[in-house]
Order: sequence, then structure tokens, then C-alpha cells
Amino acid sequence: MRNKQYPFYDAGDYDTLPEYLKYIGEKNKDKIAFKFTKDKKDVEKTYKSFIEEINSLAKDLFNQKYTDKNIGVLGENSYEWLLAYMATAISNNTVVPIDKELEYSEIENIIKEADIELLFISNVYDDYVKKLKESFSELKIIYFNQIDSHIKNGKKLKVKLPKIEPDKVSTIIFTSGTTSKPKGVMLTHKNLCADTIACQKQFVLTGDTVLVLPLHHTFAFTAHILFGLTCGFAICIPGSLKRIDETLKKYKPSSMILVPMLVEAFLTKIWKAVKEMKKYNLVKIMIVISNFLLKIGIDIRRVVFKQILDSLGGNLNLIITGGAALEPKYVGEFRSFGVNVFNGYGITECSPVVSVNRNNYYRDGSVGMPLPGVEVKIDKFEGEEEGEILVKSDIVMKGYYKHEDLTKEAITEDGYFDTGDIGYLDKDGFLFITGRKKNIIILDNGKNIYPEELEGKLQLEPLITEVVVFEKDKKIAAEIYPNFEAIPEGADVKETVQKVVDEFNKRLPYYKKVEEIVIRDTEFEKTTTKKIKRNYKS
Amino acid sequence: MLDRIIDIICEYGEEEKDNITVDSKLINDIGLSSFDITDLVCRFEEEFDIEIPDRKISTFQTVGDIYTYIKDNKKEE
Repeated sequence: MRNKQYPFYDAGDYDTLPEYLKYIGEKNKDKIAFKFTKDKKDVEKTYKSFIEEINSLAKDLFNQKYTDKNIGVLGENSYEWLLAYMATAISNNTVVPIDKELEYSEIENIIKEADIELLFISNVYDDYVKKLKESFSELKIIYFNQIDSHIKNGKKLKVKLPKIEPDKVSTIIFTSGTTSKPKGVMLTHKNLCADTIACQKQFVLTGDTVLVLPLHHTFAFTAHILFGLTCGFAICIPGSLKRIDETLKKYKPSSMILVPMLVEAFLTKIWKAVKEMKKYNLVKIMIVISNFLLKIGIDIRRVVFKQILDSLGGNLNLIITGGAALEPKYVGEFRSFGVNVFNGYGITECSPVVSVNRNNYYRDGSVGMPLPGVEVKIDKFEGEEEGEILVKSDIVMKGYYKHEDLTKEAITEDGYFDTGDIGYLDKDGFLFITGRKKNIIILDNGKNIYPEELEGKLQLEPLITEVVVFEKDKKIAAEIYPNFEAIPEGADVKETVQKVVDEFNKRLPYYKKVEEIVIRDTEFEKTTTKKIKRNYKS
Repeated sequence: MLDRIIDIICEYGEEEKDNITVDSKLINDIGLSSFDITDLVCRFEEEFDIEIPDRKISTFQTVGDIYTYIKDNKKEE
């Protein structure tokens, strides 16, 4: 019967990324692991060749005395990005994936704070290299288009890669680079492997996927790459996120791993096309009929909605989302067309997947059951079922890089990580997220925004005295108490401040832009410790 | 050219054409998502026969930003 608990799927047994690569290599051998275009030509890489190339690049790095070092990767999603990441990790180095959309100054700050000695960088970001070399005279650079020659060198070498301990930090992920000491989450080989194994037991993909989430995002890396490759299908890497329709038609994915914003965007596009074909009422009626038939065991969705499904490549039947809350109505709409959408929950500090609905056991509105081996405890508020979500498992990070104080605050003495999220478990053990304790704005594209980071920067503007950043209608807004004395006499206050914010926005990536401002005439109310009282709830 | 840009933007946004100016913000005033903007960029590439790099997309905040970019980068006829 559907939608009942059932035995876990088979999974591998590995503690380090070299063991993981051995596992996927033996399991999937000559199957296609990646599809992409290079120099306008279609390329396919088998699991075997992917692993061989990683090993050769790792040997080249090791031979150049790169071991036990921190190595950065910066660039758009690409096969080379993955080679750089994996080769770094398996040569006993620590990889620092850097968000390419950060401001240049933030990137520089991360390179400094993370003690990066070598940076793999995409040729697209060539303009950064000159500046980086001026700031870091010792920093070595390998461009993505030089990776091939390093692989060739590595192939000839007869070096043995060092043995890696499961507790070795394989990656440090910086969620932001603005503060003077940015917070880097240290994940060990064991962390990543434990999360991948737990995902394997909980869930299966149905076929090839198209990679759209940025690889520096832990959700994309663990769920799409590490877990995805255990399933033995191909991961298709588009060269650009432009023309996503053409990409879907070309690669015809069966499964997709997305953030809620993209789920919503796909549906909006579908409905727009339906309306343009003047078939809106017809489709609505067919949904009612199809859903009725489905209840009595007759599934006509893939026939009736073929045209709609063809716009997504024709094979799509599964979407996994994570990174932000997903409105249940999107799950229902996609399911009506024959595509199951399963939401999950995760946090970078937990490698990141904590829970996900299962292929045949799910609860709409929930983020699924905790993965096997992951203990989720709700520290309940007095008299309530909901409370703070605590996690104890091998997936919990080793700590924050060079921030022992913060690590102690985040992980209790008995080993529970305080996620900062609030939720409850229902009687069957499904997890529901209801809010956040920590002051983080999570946008529907999965991006985490730290209001204090934007506030700190805005307060540097001479025309701004105090500011509180908050979420409004899924966008970032700021309430500002201007420095009235600095505003020219007779000038419109809001207009003048808006110009300052517009200029400020130009320096920010998309997801951090302040989209709306509210001007206030009085100072913000303060706490006894003179901190602004926040009344906004995300 | 500006008129044509605004016509195309109107197909994606929630705002009436008469209310859109060079200063209109793509996300906040016109109601576009970052996904819409990526889609729009493809339309502009086809319409004006230019190539807009992925890196550039996230710098577009207003209609004017797009207009200026296309004007400055469009190949001479």
C-alpha cells in the first residue's frame, strides 16, 4: 500500500570521500555520471573516468605539496568545479567552496580568514585574480581551464595518496563573508558520508537530473552530487541557467533537486503557457477528473498532461526541495500533473539534510521524517507541543572554524546541535517547521540573509543612523531612522535615503538587495543592553 | 529601444506599461522574480542580438540598468 512506512533502501558503507568514490565507482562503473557541454560540444563522463580524473588531479596536488592545506573553489557550476572539490578533499586537504555571487571584498575576506593557500577559479572570474594576487602574494591560482593539464601530470605520477581519517575536515563552508571574522562551518568526511548514507536509506531518485542549484550550497553538493551519484544516474550540468526550458528539453530529467522558488517559478511558467493556449479551464477540469480517477487507482496524468510535462522535458516525475519553506499548494498542483514534490529540511551545520519525505511515505506540509541515524529532539516550550529543534547524529559538524566559543554555544555538552529552528514532530514522527529562533531571514530561493550583516553595512552610510532589516512578502525590507541633520534642507527624506540604498544595493548580489525602505521619525526602542528591539518575525 | 524593452518586461510583470519607467525596480516595482529576470535576459538576447553573461544578470536592478547595458553593448547595425 502507498503512503505507509516501508523498509529503508540499501545503502553503502563508507566513512571518507575516497571510500565513497570507491563505492560509487564499483556500483556504477561505466554508466554516465555527468553530461555537459564544453566548447559547444556535448561531453559525457562515466563514473569510472570521473573517479580516475579526480585521482590524477589529487596526485598532482599532493605532489605539489598540497596536503593538509585549505584550498578554495570559486566559479559557476561545472564539471571542473567538482573535480577541484573532490581532488582537494581526497588529497587530505580541506576545500572551501566560495559563493561566486558574494561581493569581491567578501571573497577576499573569506580567503584571508580561511587561510586559503591555493584557489581553483573559473576563467569567468579572471578579473578577480589580479586583485587577489595584489592582496595575497603567496596565493596560488589554478584556473578551471588548466585542470586538464594538471590531470595529465597527475596520471604520470606514481605517488600514493595519504590515508584520510573520517574525522578530517573535508570542507569549510562560509555562510557569509562580511564580518571581520566570518563563520565557517567545518564538515568532516564522516559528516558528509553519514548524511549521504542516511539519504540513500530514506530516498531514491528516479533517473537523470539537471543541476540548477549552485554547488557551493551544501544542499546542492550533498543532496544532488554525493547522494545523486549513489543512485547511478547522470547529472546534467547546464553551462548557463539561461534558457532553462531548452536545457530541460535537451536532458529530459526524471528527478530535480530544487529550492521552493524554482518550484513556484516552474509552475507559474506552466500556467502562463496554459493560459496562452487558452486551455486554462480545460486543464482545471482535467485536474479534477484526473485526481478523482487517481483516488480509485487509475492514473491518467502522464497522458492527459503530456503537453505540460513535455515543457519540462517529458520525463520529470520527482522533485525534492529544501533550503526554505514550501507552500503545500505547489506540491498539490505538481502532483496533479504527475510530478511528486517532496520537501525536506536541512541546515549547513548538519551536512545539511536532516529530514526528507520518502518516495512512498510522506506527509504534505511536513519536511518528512528525520533520516535514519539522525536523532531529532524537540526542546518543547512549556505547555506546548512545539519547541526548538535539536539534532544529534554523525551529520553534526565538527564546529565553526576558529570560533570555539560559537561552537560551544551551538552544540550542547551531550552532543545536540541547536538548529535555531522551531517545530514539532507529529504522532507518526513527521517533522513540521513552524518558525525560527535565530534572527535569520530565509528567502524562498533558499538563501539565508543575516539582517545584522546588512544593518552593519547600511549604518556605515552617513545618512543612516539606525536600521532594522526584515523580511516582507518574501523580500528584504529595511526600516530606517535617518540622520536628519545630514539630509539637505528641503530635500525629500525618503527619496534621499532611497538613493543611498540604491547605491548600496549595486554592491550586493541579487538575493541581498534591500527592496523596500520605510522611514521612521523616531529612534528605535532599545533593550536594557541598548540593542534595538526587533518586532519583526520572519 | 526602451519602449520595446518595457513591452517585453510587461509580459512578465504585474505592472501596467504606463507605470513603468527607467527607474522602475525589476523586483519590487514590477514584481519580477530572479527567475523571471533570467528568462527576460534570454528574450533580450534574441530581440537585440546581443549576449548577456550570466554574471551580469544579478547586477540588473532597474529597467534603466537593462536599457543602458543593451544600448552600450548592442552591435552596430
